[in-house]
Amino acid sequence: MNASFHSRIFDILQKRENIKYLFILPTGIFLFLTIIYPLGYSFILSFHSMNLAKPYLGTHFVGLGNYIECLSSQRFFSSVKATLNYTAIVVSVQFFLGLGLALVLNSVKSPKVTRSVSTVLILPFILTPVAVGLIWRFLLQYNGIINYFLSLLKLGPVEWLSEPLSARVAIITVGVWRGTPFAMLVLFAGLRSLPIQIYEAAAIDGVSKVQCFRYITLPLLIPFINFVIIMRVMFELKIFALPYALTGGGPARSNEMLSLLGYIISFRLFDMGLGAALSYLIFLIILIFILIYLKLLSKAER
Amino acid sequence: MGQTMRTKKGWKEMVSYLFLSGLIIGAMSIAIFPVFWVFLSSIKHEVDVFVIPPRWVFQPTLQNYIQVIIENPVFVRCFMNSVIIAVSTTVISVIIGSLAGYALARFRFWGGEILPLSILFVRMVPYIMLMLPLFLMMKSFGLLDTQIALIMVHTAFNLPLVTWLMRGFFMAIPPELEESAMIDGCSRFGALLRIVFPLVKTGLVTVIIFCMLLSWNEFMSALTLTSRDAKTLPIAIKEYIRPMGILWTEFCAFAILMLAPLIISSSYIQKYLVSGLTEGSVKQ
Repeated sequence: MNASFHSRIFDILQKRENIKYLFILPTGIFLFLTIIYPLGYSFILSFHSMNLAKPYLGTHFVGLGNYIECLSSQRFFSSVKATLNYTAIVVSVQFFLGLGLALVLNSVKSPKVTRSVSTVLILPFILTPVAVGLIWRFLLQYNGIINYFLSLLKLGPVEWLSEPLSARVAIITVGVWRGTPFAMLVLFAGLRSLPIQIYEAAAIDGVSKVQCFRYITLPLLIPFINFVIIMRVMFELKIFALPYALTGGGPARSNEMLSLLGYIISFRLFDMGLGAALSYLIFLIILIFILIYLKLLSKAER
Repeated sequence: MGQTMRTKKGWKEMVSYLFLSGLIIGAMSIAIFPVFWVFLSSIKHEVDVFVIPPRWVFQPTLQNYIQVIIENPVFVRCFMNSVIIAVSTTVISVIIGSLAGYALARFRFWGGEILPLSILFVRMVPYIMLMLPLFLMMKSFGLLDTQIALIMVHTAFNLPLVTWLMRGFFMAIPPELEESAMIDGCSRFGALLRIVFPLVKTGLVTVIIFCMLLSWNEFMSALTLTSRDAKTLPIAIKEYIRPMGILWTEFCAFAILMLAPLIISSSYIQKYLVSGLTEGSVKQ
């Protein structure tokens, strides 16, 4: 009885199609428990009022109350503005700088040199973000090294992290410092993957270098460009550790990016229902941007 | 006449060569300067750090490192936590993620492309959205401030990427190889292990690097789910921000110690990171 039972199970498992469920099961269960279920829980929570700091108030249903509170909050809109502003500027600079650097690196023939250069250039991208934030906080102090270099250039010392505008510039600069290597290396890999034959044919036909770039290189690089932009936008919209470490959202909440605001609402004010609603709004914003980008993409392809 | 033409071309090439090299060296300096300056500051006495103009020649000291490692027990404990969590996460993510990636690469599931795309979709979720319910869930299971909690969460963060990348790597290998092995009597799983596995070695290394990197550097879940026992390095370093003032030299030593593994393995990381990412993602 036992033997035939086991061999029957084994037969079912061996059958071509069925083993696929076995392979995908652990991942599926894990993701369900740690992502899908929390997402649903968060969704339901967003329609309730729950404040862990005021447990005597209990948890009750408030419908769209939390969402309305978010959407009518000045703090929320400043955060949206700050996040969008930061993301737009940082991703653009990362892309153009990255492209420029990739082109420069591409003109280097020796693979040893490109490897050593890549090794150094990848550092800003792989270092722990919170450490990077704190390091720049160290560098940007009023009597720190950055101000020293600036004073040598007569650009004067700047009170970087205490003024909203200069703090924004600082956060953007650190964001660019951190993400440009990624853009550069992906675009460089893209450039290196382009077939030489096309360029040789173009050279024979007498195409100028600029035309080469516009009509051959750029179109062929598009999948890499899309990859860089989508990855960077998705990452920068959710940025948390960097602004947390650099200014904690300050000065005066001027650089309170959305994820940071979500953290403050949920884990400093412990207003869980509001935090849940806020995070769904953040998710919506990210979704909208991805969809807009994809729409623009399919339009451009025509 | 011919000679003048050659020298002209030589000049132009040399100027552009110098210009491009200058750009590259400039970029490298910008990339490495913060780390360099922090390292320099970490071997300075407190007194030498904030002098204007900055001191390039000074009496070095290991006092800060001694303070971080020996006098302050936090560092060693957090280092162990980070290592244990990163390694466990990587092992679990890579094993079950690769299996899932293989299944998605070889078989058709109901919904066709929806399942793989939803994996990508999950990556769009801002982590803050998950932290709230995860915090409440961990609280009710009594798992707050445990390594297990972080291992589970980091694995959850890693799995979509691992699955997506491994799927890409598996799709690059012709299925005929496994099929011929199975005709010879191998089971599907056996074929996977013996034939396909050696061929995706570079893909596996890429994915391992990603998982270790993500877990080592992870901040948000460590911040919300730990307080003392399971504290990881990123949390320990953020605690240098104290209202009473920051011990900058000690912070620099801590930072260098924490970032040293990353810096040392950067050439290794660089090799696999971008090639793996683009091969596994861009071409899908």
